Amino acid sequence: MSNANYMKDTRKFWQAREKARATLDAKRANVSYAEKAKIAEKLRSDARFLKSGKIVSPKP
Amino acid sequence: MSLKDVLVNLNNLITAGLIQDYAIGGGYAVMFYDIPLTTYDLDVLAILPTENDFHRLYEHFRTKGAKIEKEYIFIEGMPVQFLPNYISPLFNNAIKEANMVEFEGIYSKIVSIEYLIVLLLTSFRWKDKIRIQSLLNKANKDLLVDIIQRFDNEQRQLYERYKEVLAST
Repeated sequence: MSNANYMKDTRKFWQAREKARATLDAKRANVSYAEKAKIAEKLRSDARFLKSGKIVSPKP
Repeated sequence: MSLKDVLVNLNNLITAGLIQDYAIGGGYAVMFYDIPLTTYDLDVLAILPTENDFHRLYEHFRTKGAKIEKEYIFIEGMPVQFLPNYISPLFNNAIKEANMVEFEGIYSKIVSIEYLIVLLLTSFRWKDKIRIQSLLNKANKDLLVDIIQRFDNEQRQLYERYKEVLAST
């Protein structure tokens, strides 16, 4: 990829991303206790799944 | 609604020609390197040569009826942010030099520790500094400095930030 094809000003891009993340964080902070417990369980399950991964690069 | 299903979906995007390649970054990559963390959104660095390809990707999910909130696409109920490689050469190389990882028969790419640290040096929020400190003892320092030097700006911002983290460790 040539340098000319890269984004010239990334500020707007990152601002939009940060705003989206803040909105998501605020939403999650206001969910019920039961919903928070569900999210925590999903996170534990994802962490277990990630731990099962083995680096094999390059792909066999 | 499992992470495995999300990875299958991401691999299908390559098969469908919507993205050329991808690598997991952000909090989930930090978690892969065995750092306990609380995060629930998935950052996916993706090879999408042009902005049109980026819009085509969103259009694909919109057509499928996926929930889209601001920059997030919900895949299998999980909020996913796609970070296109045309943001910078750093993103491009982070994908190309990412580790191929096998998860229960599914292959996926995870950004290497050294690139992950450099990406965190780019965003450099307080939580990124903590993540960098946790990742540093697992990183190849020579390789890390090499990546920093390759992608730093004239003000050597990344290297200065790296020194700041080292000083506080």
